[in-house]
Amino acid sequence: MLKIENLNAGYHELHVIKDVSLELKRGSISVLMGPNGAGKSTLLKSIFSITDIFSGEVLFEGEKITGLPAHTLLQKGVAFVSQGRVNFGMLSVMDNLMLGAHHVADKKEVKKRLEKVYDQFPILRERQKEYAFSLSGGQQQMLAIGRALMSEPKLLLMDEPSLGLAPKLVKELFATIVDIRERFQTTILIVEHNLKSLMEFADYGYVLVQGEVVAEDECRNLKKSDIMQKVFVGTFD
Amino acid sequence: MIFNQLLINGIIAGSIYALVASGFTLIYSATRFIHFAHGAIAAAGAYLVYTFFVLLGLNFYLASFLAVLSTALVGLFFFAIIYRPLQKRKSSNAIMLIAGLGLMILIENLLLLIFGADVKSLNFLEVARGKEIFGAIITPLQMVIVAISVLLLIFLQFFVKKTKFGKKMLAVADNPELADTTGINAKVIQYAGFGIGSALAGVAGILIGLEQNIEPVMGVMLIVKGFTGAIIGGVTSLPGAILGSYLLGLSENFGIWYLPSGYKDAIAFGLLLIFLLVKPNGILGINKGVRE
Repeated sequence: MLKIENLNAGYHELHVIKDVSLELKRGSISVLMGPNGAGKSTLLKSIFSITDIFSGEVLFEGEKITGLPAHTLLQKGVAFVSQGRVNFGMLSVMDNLMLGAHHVADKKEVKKRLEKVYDQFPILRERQKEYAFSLSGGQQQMLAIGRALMSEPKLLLMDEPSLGLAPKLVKELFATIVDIRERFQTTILIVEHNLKSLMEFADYGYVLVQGEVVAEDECRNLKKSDIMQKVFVGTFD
Repeated sequence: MIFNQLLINGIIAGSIYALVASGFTLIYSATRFIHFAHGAIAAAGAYLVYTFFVLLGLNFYLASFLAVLSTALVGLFFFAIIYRPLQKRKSSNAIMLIAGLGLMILIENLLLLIFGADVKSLNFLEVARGKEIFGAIITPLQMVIVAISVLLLIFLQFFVKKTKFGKKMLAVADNPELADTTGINAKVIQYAGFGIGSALAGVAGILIGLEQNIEPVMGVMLIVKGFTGAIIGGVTSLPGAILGSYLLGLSENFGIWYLPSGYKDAIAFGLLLIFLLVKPNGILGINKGVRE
């Protein structure tokens, strides 16, 4: 469903992503891992065209989306949850969610999606009238994910969703992500540091080192390989 | 009753400042830069209504409508040819500010070139005897000014808070990067914000033109007062900008109860300095805290 072919990308003159190719299967949860500065977030942002792309292509459902402005990608079914649980702090929880479906004209449809997100995260329904900045860290992350889900994305990109969450919440979050895949019938690509716990939940993993994919396999195989030892121990750093 | 008279004078001044300040805030929220030529755009609005009404002899209401519309277009034009290219080059705020100052001088001199240095007046309404309300004197024109301002400000508040488009505007103001990844086309929002903000400046220009003389440099005073009102109230908050503007109008007018009337501007600048030093976020510009 998403195919990246020989992608080279970065920021201005800085070449971060080097010749990366990967392909996501529909309905899979894939994880992109690697040491600090490997270019994980940059790769994710390149899919969403927030970086400078030098060469290569990104195909979404067979259609070339390389370099399309971010606001058109949402309409094609790609949603992005950025790092650090970012929300519109001065807007209400409900307004935050509604903005996730701002391109949908059908009010009934929006309402339906809102209910679906509230069913997934009941605490957001309870606090729908409150300012987003008043939520706790975990709730803010739910809101950020909820807003992305409002667009009913076919592909959900998440940049370090566990960042700064308590260990117990991290486990819950990953279980939620699996649940989201079932309920919302979506394909998910996650950039994560929190490898150990995520490996239990994800299907497929890519290891990115210095902008290149050095290993990729199903997570259960990857768990056993030496390359993961290196990532865990941090020899790459 | 001197108190009531000063109160009414303060409200009249505040209404005009609020129109300028809310347009200024709208533009700042959508674009994140200080549009210093906003007052000059209001001056252009006054000259445009003068052109349509006095020079071309159109019906006043039609002339006003055309003036507001063309003021919006003038604003959009300068946004497109000056600010947008600078934004694309990722120019710093200081550069945007200087560009705004330059634009202000350019517009002032264009007005001077086209219309000349002598003051113009609209003479739409005959100078009417003021009505006495609670011992204060207010002319029908002044009542119209206050009524139009208040109606527009209520409408604007409704537009921003209740419509989908307004919410997108708030979202861009709140977090431009996130708005982008949420799929909100910031460019459309910026143009809309600039257009609506400039239209409001046009209304302010017309209302001032009705009460006072029109002159090329009138924009300086307007932007200084509008800017001060916006800072006092909180520059990213629309209700804040409105509140701040009325507060400014009232302080200026009550200030001259004790001070000579020449100190009006000094009171405004004094307030601006105090707020910049003590509460730069303004009254309603909440310091948002992110709970960890």
